Amino acid sequence: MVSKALVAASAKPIILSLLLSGENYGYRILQRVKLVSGGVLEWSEAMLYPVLHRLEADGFIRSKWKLSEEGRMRKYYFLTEAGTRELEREKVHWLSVHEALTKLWTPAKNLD
Amino acid sequence: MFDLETAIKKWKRGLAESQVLEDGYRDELEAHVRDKIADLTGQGANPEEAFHEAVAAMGGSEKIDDEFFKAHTTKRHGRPSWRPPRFMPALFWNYLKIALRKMRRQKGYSFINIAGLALGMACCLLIVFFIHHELSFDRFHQDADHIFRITLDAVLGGNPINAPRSPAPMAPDLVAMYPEVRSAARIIQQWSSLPVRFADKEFIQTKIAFADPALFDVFTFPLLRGDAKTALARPYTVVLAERTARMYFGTNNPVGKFLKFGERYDFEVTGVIKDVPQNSHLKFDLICSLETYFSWYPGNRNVWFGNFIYYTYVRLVRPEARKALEAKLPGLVEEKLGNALKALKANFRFQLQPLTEIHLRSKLQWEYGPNGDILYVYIFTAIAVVILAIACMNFINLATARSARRGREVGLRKVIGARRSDVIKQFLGESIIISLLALLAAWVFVRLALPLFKSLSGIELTFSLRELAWLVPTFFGLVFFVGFAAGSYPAFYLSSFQPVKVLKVGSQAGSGDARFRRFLVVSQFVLSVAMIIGTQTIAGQIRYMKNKDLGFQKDQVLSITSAGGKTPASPDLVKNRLREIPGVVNAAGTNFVPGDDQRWQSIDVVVPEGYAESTNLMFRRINADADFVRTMGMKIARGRDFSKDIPSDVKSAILLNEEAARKTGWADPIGKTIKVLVDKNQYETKTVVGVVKDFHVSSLRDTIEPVYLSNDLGGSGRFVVKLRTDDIGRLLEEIKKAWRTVSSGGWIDYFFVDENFEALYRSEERLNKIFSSFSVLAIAIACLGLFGLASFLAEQRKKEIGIRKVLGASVGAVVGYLSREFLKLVGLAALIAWPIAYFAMNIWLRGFAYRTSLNPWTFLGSSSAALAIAFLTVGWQALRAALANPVDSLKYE
Repeated sequence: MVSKALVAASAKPIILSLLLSGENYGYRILQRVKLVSGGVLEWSEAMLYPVLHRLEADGFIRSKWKLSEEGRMRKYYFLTEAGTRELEREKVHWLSVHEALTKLWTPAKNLD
Repeated sequence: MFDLETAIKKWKRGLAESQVLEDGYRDELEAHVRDKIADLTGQGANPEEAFHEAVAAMGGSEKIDDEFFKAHTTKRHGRPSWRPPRFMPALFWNYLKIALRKMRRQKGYSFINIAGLALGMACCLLIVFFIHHELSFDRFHQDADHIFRITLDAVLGGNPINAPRSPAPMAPDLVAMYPEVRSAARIIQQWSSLPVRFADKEFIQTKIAFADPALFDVFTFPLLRGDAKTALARPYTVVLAERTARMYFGTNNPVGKFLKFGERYDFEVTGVIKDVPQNSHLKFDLICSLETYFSWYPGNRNVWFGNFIYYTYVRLVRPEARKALEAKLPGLVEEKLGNALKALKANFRFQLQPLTEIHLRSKLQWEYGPNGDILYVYIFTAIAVVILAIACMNFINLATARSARRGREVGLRKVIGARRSDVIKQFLGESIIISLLALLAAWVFVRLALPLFKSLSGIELTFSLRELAWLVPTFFGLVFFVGFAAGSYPAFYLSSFQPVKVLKVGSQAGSGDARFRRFLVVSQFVLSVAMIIGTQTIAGQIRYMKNKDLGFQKDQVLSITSAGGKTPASPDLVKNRLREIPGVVNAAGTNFVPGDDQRWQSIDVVVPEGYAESTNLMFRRINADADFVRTMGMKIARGRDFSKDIPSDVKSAILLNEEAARKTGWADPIGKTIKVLVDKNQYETKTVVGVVKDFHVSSLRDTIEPVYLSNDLGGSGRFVVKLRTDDIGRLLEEIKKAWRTVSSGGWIDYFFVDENFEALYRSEERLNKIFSSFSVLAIAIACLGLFGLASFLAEQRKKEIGIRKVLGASVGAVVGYLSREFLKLVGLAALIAWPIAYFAMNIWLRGFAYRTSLNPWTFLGSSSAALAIAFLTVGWQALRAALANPVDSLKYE
């Protein structure tokens, strides 16, 4: 299991990244997260929506209600300009963390 | 039928409770749930399952709130602002203040509450002390679990023998043959009482034992003086208990001094041990060396068969070795006793009995002394629970009945933001405070009741610092247990009040659940009435046992034995000298009187005429002379008594009791012969000259066993003397004087047969005393509660009573009207208590071979007594209410 703290920290970049490929709604986002992480990340419903709302309040995403093909109302979320920029920043941060860890875990180049 | 749409609607409405979910948000969650349901039904689930799974995954509004809070806060361990803090110190002081204020303002109610709980707790504490004492027996020895007693489980002549005794060589052989045995000690009892003298100080000593030096290795009896290894090594040495040493020598060192036992033997004091604790099943004040005994009976040392008088205790290298050793014992029996047992067709088995189980769980023949009984531990635990339950019910009853008083407070607290759990905590806290106060009062009661406790239980409780280790947890356990048991129902009940209802003007909410209260009153009285019936039945059985025709006259019969040394030369000389004393009706020689400890009585293998030698009948034997039957007031049923005029009687005549005669199966036993086994394959032939009516020799718990009286006194120096006098003290002096003349200055050991016999019922008497004390307490506590309840209800109905009186109701009518309900409850309780008491007492009575029947009057009487007490309690309150002036109760303030 991924630790709670890591789940919380990664929620923002993951949601933003998912929305990069187009607008999406809560239930689908949850399933996609599960799928791309190979089941390692399993978010609870109760956690997802507060995070979405927080991102919306921060101006990174926006939402609108739409009628789905099944004839039901769904709330779709999509990235804003600010969201795309935020994602770029997040990407830099996460990649640098990733790079640092990779270096540390590669035995030969250790501690030069 | 499950309908998805209504289910979703309902669920959505439930979410409205949440503090953070706005409408749009809820719609979004609904959409999510619908998506998931669609997915799940697509996978083959039915709509109901799908709905439940989807909703469960979402979690309740609380969980959503928390997540929402987490997503928005920067604090890592914050609490949402809409949640009250877990602990508010200000509120704690408020709770305490309110609790104390309520107690102050309602003194009578608080008094009843605290007194009831305190009485219950005091009983409970005393019982806990008693049980603790019983369970602590023999655990003060180091490695008590390594110590075992050898017990014998045998069948001899068709009769089972279960005894904790072994032959002399058992102990040394066990140590020599088995490495599991670290050491083994033998203990025997020889003298039931003996005058022991040092210089001019003489005291009758009753706790004298003979023991091996290994006693001090097996057990932990620390020596204050002397050397444990050598103290008991030589003949005629004795180790004293500290208090015995003080009796004779004060603070001087007794080692090396000589004590005179029974004017005959000089024992050198070689050591002093600390007094044997009360909770030891072995009790002694003087321990003589076993070598002394062997110096008197040298042949006894190596005899395996015969003389099973040695209590043998072994200390094993480790407790688990028990099984291994027990498995080897049959081999030992075969080697040492095989031939003898084959000849007797007997079966012997030795076992190891853990030391710590002896006091409560051992019920063998010939125990070292009277043991306790685990049954009493259970009975007292039950009594403690019952009394505590009655006390707690009082509290619950009063608290719920008076809940109207607190209704507004609860309502207001809730309006200001208290949740139900806060109110519950508040009231539980209050009941814990009350039970803490009750504990303090209970401790006072316990201290006051200690002398009574001692006289009832024979246990002297001491409270030392060492005891605190278990007392403190016991106290706090009791406080919290009582606090929760008594406080939880009122707390849950009071906290369920809805502010809207209790705050409405003129609301009468919260006068409590009357049905529940009735149930509690009934339960209290069921328990009380059952206890009273129990007490009465036990008393009835004791009366029955004391008054039952025992088959002999037990009043004014004295038993006399020589107290060590100086036995008179001829029994006839003694009898004649005794008969000369005015007031002595008759005197006879015997070796046994009814009520004697049967461990001293011989049991013989007998072969009645016409039976094969392998029959293996066993009769108890009493050796008695021709005066015995008359002196004891026994009746000859058939044939004749022994006669001094028929010289052959002494050698060959015997009397059977009716039970023995029945066992032989003879139509007419007179003149028939019985062979008695006297040695290996050697029989003596005796002729039955008469049959004595059955007489009891032991407690009525036991059935009458087959007994035969042999006219051969067998060298017994014991006498029974029938007296008829009003001045027993003077007569006793005469008898002592007469004895000194015939025994050249000897002492006597004497007791009255009726006292001896009645001592058999000491445990029943004690049970009765304890049971009656506790049932009085139980009913007192129950009445205390009833009193509180009645006074409260009378007060609540003050206006109603006023109106009734104005309209013409008489005082009597009002009293009757107010008491009727309670009396109905108590009556109902009595009816319920009957079958419970009936079954319980039936079980108890079944322990007696001869018992009184359960008397319906006991049941009626006990119930009427309970009713009368309840009426007095309630009636007084009712009368007060009825006598009140209606003007006072009806006017507006």
